[in-house]
Amino acid sequence: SLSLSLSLSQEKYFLPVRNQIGRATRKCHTSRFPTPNGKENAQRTDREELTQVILRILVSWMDPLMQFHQSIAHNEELSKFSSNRALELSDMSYNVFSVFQMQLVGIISNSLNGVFPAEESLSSSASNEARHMRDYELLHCFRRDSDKVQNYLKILKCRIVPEHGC
Amino acid sequence: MSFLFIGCQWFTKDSLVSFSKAFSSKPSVLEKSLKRTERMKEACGAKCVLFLLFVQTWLVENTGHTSPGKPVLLRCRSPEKETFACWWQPGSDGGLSTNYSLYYTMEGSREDAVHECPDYKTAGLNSCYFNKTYTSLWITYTISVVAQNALGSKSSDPMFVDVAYIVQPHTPENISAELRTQDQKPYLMVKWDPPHKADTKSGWITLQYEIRLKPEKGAEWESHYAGQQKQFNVFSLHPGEVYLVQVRCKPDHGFWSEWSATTYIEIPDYFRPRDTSVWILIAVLSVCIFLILAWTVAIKCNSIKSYLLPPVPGPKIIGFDTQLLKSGKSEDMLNALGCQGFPPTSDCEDLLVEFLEVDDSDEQKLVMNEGEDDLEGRVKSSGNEVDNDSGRGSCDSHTLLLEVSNSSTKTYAQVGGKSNNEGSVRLSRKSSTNGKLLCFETAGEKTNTWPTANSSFLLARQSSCHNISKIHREACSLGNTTDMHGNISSAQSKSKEYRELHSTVSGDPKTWFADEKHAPLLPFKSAEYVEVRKLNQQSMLILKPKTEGGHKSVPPEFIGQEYTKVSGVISDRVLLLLRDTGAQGSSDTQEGKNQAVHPSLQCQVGKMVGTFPASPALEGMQLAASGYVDTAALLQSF
Repeated sequence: SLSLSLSLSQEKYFLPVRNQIGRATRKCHTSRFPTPNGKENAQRTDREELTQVILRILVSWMDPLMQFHQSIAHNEELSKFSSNRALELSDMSYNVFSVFQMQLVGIISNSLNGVFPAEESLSSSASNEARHMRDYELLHCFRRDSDKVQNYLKILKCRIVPEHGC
Repeated sequence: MSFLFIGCQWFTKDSLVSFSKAFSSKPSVLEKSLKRTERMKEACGAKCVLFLLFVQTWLVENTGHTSPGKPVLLRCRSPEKETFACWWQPGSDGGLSTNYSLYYTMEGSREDAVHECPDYKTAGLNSCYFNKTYTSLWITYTISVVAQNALGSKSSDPMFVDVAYIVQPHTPENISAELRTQDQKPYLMVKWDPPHKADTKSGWITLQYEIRLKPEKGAEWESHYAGQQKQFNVFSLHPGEVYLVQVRCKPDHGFWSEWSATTYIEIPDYFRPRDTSVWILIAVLSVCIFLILAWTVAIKCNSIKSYLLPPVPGPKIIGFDTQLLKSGKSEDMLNALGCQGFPPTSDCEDLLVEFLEVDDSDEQKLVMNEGEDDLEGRVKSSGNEVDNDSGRGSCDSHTLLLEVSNSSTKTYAQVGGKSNNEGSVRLSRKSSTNGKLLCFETAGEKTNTWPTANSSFLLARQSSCHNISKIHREACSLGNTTDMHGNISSAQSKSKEYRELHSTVSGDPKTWFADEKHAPLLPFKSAEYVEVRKLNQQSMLILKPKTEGGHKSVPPEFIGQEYTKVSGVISDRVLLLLRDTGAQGSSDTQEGKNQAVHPSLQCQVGKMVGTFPASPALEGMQLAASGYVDTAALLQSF
């Protein structure tokens, strides 16, 4: 529970707010697996399942983020056109999220006493798909999924420790 | 159409005016501006014509029926992140009844799965309401509105909506402002509740709050970000004013709500702690100033008193020296006063003052000093003798008391030895008529007014005035230490030139006796003084040696340097004074005595002479004496 609250507090910082509502022509690679989309769905989902969902999302983003970061760093053309702000954002988000992701994955997997076996396949396929996504789409998906994970973690926190800020 | 025409002309006119104003200040550009305006006028005129044409065609179209205009989606909002609604702006209806329908597609579903708005009513006119079943988060909705009438349809531009990011909650509720004090400082504690529909309990929505307040008569709001807490303390308050308080909230990713209803709170006008501290400071300062003033007054009390209340000058007696009084030398003081022999004793009434003349005759060489020539002079009691003692009167201890009762008869008592180099002062005595009294002033040690420095041969510690009639009395005023002889005063008054010791010297040497019985007069130098005990009616000078037993032949031992011993009385008139430092005055011979006269005797003689108004010769002798002559002895006490 403490780890969850800690992770939740960290999560607020790992992604800057991007208010742009981009047109997503493609679905995000993480939409493959179902995730609760509403309040009732989320509250109906028990803790373990919700935790697993979080974990899956985080894991599925590890490779795409790394690839994205590498592509951004090595893309000279992109560095010319893109604003420094976008570059900073992506860089920062990758660094922070990756570190946080690692920690969160570790915490959650420990709490669940196991690692998902389907994880690897998912991640590989997801990474393939993510490779084809454009940068802005990738960032859009990344932002959304991070918000989703944050919301799930908040729900879990208020369910487990309802005293603090719920 | 007319409006359009007017508007066009207004536009042109306004533009012309503005341009002219802009360039009017520069005369060099004036020509340019004029040309420009002309051109613009022409261009504007052309535009106006075109515009008018277009408007006309439009109006022609509208008067008929046309397809509906293009609606515009205004916004979509979700109050609690569970439902959402969209509003659009209808376009022109084209003169026909036009209905609007909203269609949407969801991300993740198939592309052709177009859904229509489930609810057009709940959210009001030109709205579409999506309830919980139709709301999915983290999914992009593609929404568009289609306006359709008989002639045609028009669809609006699509709007991409992700419900998680369009949340705009309701205003916070139950706002309460409470006035509290902390350390006598008031502050405002504002409390509120989140909107009842926003589910913050389960953590579904996380809201942030902002509060703002301003005085009722203030112009600007003062905003404070309150974070996720549901209360806030405001400290920047002005007492005595009415404050307006408002609160609003915002989710993590969403829009700020509207400001809540205004809550009024009045701050009572109270005594500010700042004023209290100021008053305390003033009080402390005043106390400090008061203390400083009091201390200053206490220090300078006397000077202030003398300044404000000048002292009344006390009575002042001329010649009265309080210092002398304090020093205890009554003799000096009384001398300063010009008092001689004060207070007079009863015995002094009958004093026979005789002049005691100390004569420094040739026969007698007064050895005042080594090798000094004989000084002749009769030591006369002269009032001219100046006593070095400060201006004292006749109350001079070292002077033999001279009182001239009758100047007619004077008895000179010559003190002196007969002709010896050692010097003896012959004391000649003049017998007064009545020879009443011989008053000798004693070296008034006891009186403390008598200078001890002055020594006289005949110095007796106590001046005793003896009535001749009482001469046989042993009782003497020896014990009378404080007697001041009135003879002094009288003598002083009378004798100016001469100091005469009126003494009756008994011719009978035996009469001269040294009273051994009597204790030394002086507590000190008792052996040195010869006390005049009695004055015989027969002109007998009875001298009492101080220490040694009174024997006429026995001169009193002379110990001190200042006093001479009376060795004896040669004749009725001659009183031999002997100073024998060590030698016993046993030898009664005059000569012996004379021989034994110490050179200092002369000094003493001189001194004694000094007690009397010394003769000039003796004066000289005195002066010649070295060391022994006490010029102070030349007291002009009379």
